This record gives sequence, structure tokens and C-alpha cells, in this order.
Amino acid sequence: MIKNNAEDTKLMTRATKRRKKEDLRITFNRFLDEVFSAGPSFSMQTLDRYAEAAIAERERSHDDRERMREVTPRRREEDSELSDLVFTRVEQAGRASSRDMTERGLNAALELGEQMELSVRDGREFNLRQWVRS
Amino acid sequence: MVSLDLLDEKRKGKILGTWKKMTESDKAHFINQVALALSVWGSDQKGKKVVVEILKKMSSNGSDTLADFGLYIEDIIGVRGTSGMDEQIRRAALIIEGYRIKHALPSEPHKPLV
Repeated sequence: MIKNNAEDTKLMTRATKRRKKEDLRITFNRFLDEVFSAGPSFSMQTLDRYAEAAIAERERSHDDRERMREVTPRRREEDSELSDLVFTRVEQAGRASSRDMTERGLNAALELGEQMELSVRDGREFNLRQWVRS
Repeated sequence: MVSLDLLDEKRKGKILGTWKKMTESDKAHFINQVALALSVWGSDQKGKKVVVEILKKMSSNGSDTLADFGLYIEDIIGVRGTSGMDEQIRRAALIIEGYRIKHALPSEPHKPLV
């Protein structure tokens, strides 16, 4: 009797699992049918318009990347001049009286700003190395 | 007749769960992208099977919304059942990329933060 009950339970579980699997299959197929039939039909012009938009965007991104690559990296000498300016001259200035350093530092910063602004306005390339040396 | 019954129960359940949680607008974007893809590579059983293959990819990649459909199209190049369709798949991917741009959809899939 107990053995028969256990067998029945096993069979019911199997049947339930099979039914659930079948229900899922039916639901999923309905979902696919819904998706495949609900979509609008697109004209060739629309497809071409989308393709053109994607191509234009790809070209724009490519141009942006190229522009970034074209930005000339600072020359090694300029880097060393800059580090000299920052780490040596400023340190030296730091040893001078604080009032003197602040005033000189401010003047230098203002002058640098002006020179950079002028070169941008005139369409010239600003040469940091030359400026530091002058 | 190509069978579309390609997914196991776990994947089917996952896809249906994702679909239920999606907004109406995301559902519309997904349906439109599928329609665009079918209009490029054909809406016969083979074309539909490719769509199911993409869904399979998406379900194993953890995307939160089926509206990311277009981002997975090129992933199926080379998958069994898509032979001879490379050009059509690339064309569909390009067109859907344009659709996504026009509708300001993201260019990266939605994935849950781990």
C-alpha cells in the first residue's frame, strides 16, 4: 500500500513537471508569435535612412578619434622645462619671502595666461619652452 | 520546416521573465528591432530561428531588457544555422544601430551591477 502511494506521488510529480514544461513551451511560442506578428513593416527608404544615420555616426566617431590622435603631444624638452619651472623655480621662489613669491608667481601666471590667450586669438601655436626661456 | 524550439526551460523562463518586467516603450523597441532584422534577412523560419539564436545569446549574457536586441546581432555571426548570412546580419546590425541612434537608445547593453 505504502509502496503504491510512493509510486503514485512519483508519477504525479513527473506529470506535473511535464505539464509545466509543456505550458512553458506554449507560453514561449505565443510570445514569439506575438513578437513576430506585432512588428511593423519598414519601407526600403526607412531602412536606408537608418543605415545612413549609423554610417554618419560611425564617421563622426572616427573623425573625433582622429582629431584626438592629431593633438600633438608635448615635446620631451618642453616637459623638462615645465618640470624645471614647477619643481625647481617654484621651490626656489618658496625659499624667498612669501610676499615676493606670491607677487612674482601671480605675475608669471598672468603673463602665461595672456600669452596663451594671444596665441589662441592669433591662431599661433603656443610654445611653452620658448616662453619659459624668455 | 526549421524548428524554433531551441532553448531550454531555464532560458525560456528567463526571457519571459525579462519581457514581463519591461516597459511598454522597451517592448515596442524590441519588436521594432526584430521587425527590422526580419526585413533584412527574411521573415521565414530560418530568419525567425536567427532571432531565437540572438535571444539565446541575450539570455546567457545577462542583459536586463530585450530592447538591447540590436546590440547582440553581430554576436551570432558564425553561429550554426547562420551560414551564408554574414552580410545580411551585418546590414541588419547597421540598420538597427541607426534605429537606436534615432531613438536615443544606449550603445551598451543594460546589465545588473554585480
